[in-house]
Amino acid sequence: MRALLLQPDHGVGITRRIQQITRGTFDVKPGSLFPALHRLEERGWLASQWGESENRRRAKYYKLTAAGRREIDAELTNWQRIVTAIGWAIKATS
Amino acid sequence: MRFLTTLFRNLWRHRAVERDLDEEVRAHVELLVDEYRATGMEDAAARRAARLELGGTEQVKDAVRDVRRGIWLEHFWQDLRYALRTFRRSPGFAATAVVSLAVGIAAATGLFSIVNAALLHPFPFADINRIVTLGMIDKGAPRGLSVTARQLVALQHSDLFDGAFALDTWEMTLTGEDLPEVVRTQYFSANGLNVLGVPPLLGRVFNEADGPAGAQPQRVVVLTYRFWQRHFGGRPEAVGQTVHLNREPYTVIGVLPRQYFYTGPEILVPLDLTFDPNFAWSVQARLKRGVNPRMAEERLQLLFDQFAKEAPQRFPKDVRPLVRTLVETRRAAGFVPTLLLIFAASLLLLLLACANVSILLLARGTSRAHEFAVRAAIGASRGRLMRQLLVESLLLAFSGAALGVAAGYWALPALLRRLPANSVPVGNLMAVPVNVPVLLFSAGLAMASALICGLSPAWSFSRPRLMATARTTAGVESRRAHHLLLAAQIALTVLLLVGTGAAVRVLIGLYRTSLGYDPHDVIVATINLPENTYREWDGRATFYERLRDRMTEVPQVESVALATYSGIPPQSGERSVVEVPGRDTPGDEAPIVQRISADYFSTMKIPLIRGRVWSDSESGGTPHVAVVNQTMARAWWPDESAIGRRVRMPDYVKPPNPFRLAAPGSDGWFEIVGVVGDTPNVGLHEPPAPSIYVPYTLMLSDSLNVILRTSPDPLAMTRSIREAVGTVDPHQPVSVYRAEGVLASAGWSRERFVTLLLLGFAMFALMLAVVGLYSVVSYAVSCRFKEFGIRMALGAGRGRIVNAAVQPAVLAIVAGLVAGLALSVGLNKIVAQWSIGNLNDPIVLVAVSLVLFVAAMMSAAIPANRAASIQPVDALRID
Repeated sequence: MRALLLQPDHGVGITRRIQQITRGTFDVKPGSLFPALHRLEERGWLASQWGESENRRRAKYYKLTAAGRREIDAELTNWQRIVTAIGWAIKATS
Repeated sequence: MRFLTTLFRNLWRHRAVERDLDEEVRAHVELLVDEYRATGMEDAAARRAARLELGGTEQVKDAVRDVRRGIWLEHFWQDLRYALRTFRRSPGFAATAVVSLAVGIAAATGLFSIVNAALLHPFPFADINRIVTLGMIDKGAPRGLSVTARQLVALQHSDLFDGAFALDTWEMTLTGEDLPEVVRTQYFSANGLNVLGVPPLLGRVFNEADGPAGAQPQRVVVLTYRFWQRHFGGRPEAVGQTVHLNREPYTVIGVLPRQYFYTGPEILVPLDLTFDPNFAWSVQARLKRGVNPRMAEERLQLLFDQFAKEAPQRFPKDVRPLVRTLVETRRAAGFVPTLLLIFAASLLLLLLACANVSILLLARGTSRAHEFAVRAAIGASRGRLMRQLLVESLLLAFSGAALGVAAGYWALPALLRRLPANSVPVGNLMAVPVNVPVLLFSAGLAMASALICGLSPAWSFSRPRLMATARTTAGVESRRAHHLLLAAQIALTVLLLVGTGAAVRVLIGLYRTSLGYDPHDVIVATINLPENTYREWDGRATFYERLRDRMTEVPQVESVALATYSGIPPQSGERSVVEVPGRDTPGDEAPIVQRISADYFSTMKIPLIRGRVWSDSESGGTPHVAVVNQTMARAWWPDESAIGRRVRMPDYVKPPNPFRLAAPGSDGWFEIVGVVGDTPNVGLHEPPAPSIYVPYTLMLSDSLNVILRTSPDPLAMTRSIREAVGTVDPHQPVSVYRAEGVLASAGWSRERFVTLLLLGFAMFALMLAVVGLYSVVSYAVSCRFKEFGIRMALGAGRGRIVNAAVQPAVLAIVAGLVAGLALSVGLNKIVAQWSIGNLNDPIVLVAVSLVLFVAAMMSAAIPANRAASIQPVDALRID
């Protein structure tokens, strides 16, 4: 979802963006990407529409909805909390 | 909202959604191709790389479909249709499975209805838990309570109750028709129906204005639904008509709905709440909201102390109030544990049916294993296969439940008729035989049984071993599950059979119990004098005398006796104080007194042990004469003869109530002239209590039983007996019944009910076991068809083949048998508390084992025979 923070994008773009953000750690295959996109859309966090790509091809563009942005904030806060907690735990034991 | 719109879109705009997905994936590929081309790849190579990155188009699409909302619904629907198709292809299997489950569910549902009626919802009255009966505790023992009209008014003024009413049951005589008829009547003080909250179906119910305390009540009557149907054919014009009761005209003011007073009374009239302190009745009340029975007991103490001061003869010293809800009194009745036991047995039966269906499902393995292997190979997930199998068993279970509920609905009235009289209030149940709790229960049962019978096949089939199915002879381990199930089924069947056997033994034992008299060909004609008739001793004695004389003239009557109380053991007389001059009387309770004519013993064939029975001329003289039973002779005069002893019975000087007329010159002294054999007089299961017989003429009651010993087919004589009574007094009603009927309702009906039901269950369980076994062995034979063929081709004898075919099954049977016997013996202690006999009885255990073993052998014989007749050539040619 973060891949879509800056701008709406299509499937291939999202894959590339994730590779870029995670510096190649995650390579999302279409077999996982599409189910994820559809699920997020059904939850109302993404919206989709057909558009035209840079090289004039029809493609389905996904963009974050307001609810999706809120969800990212919430998840990030939560994630930060977990990371901090785990960090403490590791420090305490070592 | 979004959930609903996407669900709607996925389910109803299915095609558009699919088209969109298709396009999206295709566009994705095109984008990838563009990208690869941009890196300088050839067109074909770029396309190849793009497709590699995508994986399979269909797989991606499927993955998307699997996360869609409502996908389970779609899958469910597919599975359901698929299951229907499968069942249509094997109707024999489907029918067997559905019927097995249907019978199990019908039995459990039917008994649940009864349990529900007995325990949870026994009476139709509104807000039932606030209705209480009042009693008292005297020296720690609960006792009935009766209050006078004045005391009732005091109770009504208490702030504990929303209302309190007096009630009584009696019989009235319906006159003005060709033959007078006895009608069971419920008397309520006029507020009673309002306090209970009984609504009328037609007209109105009586209220306080119809019978204020201290005044003669209006002559109005409310009909129960049954009486209305029987007498007025259910015509609404009945309201407003006049019926003659005890020769007085009563106006019908209303009819009650069907479920009210379903058993018991036929008509309801307002009680005559006279302030005469000689009259007293039992009391029920409706507690105010927020008052519980314990609080009521505490706060009634003051009132009871006052009652005890006013009426010491009815309220013993240090009396404490007892307040119990109507439901509670019903629950205390002895039938409930028995009912729960049968309910448990019905659940056991259902479990057996489930095990059986499970076995049937597994036994279809050969064809199914192949199908599932193929589906797994083309990508069906294990979860999907399991779901498919569970949907199949759900379909079976719910068809079974539907059939079972229908069957239960149809069979319930018959079941209810066989319930022991007055054991369970069935009014609610008869009116609404299938109600919401019952339907919920059976749906729950269906769900549970689907899980139970579907789980094991789902587990073992959803893990298809491709290699194993590729071979055409199935492995050994796949059949192990069957044998385990089979053993479990046999064990539970044994338990059920042993329980049934024990119940049968109890019943046989009861039939064999020495009654001390001969109930065959004995009929009883009961005479209840209408109110205000034959009010003097002389007139009443003459009337009774003439009745007896007239009865002896009826053809085929061998002998006639009179008894005030029923006189048919185990029904007996009432307890009454007997004093022996100069000493204390043994035992806690007073002996049972029966008032009879001298020919009672010869008519009933009760043996005279010692002494003699009085003659007719002696019966009125002084000192009065009496006869005691053996138990009394032994307990009261252990070291001497009872004959010649004198006892005093104070109740015979002055009768305790106005319905009894004492003979003139009665002084209460009796001389014992004889000892007769014991008969059960407390209950068929209890040892006899001390009992004393005195001439009926000494105190004439307003009811009389004429006991007649006749030729066989005594019921054919009903008419001539009625006519004989009619010639003496045309207005006198009479009811006639058989002595054996008394026995049945007194003690045998419960055991008979239990035994009949359990026998039905056991037969069905045995049938299930046979079907299960048959299918397991058939399955084994069909699995190993080829193997057997090869072995026979290599020279194995038929005996060896049969042996190989049935041996695992026989092992399972033996294991199940042993486990079942152990289970029965182990459970004996628990079941014994509920007294339906002894599960530990060696005769029963041996008989059950034999029956089961023979049945098992017979059902295994057919497939074994098929195994033996395999032609090696056919077996080898099968592929």
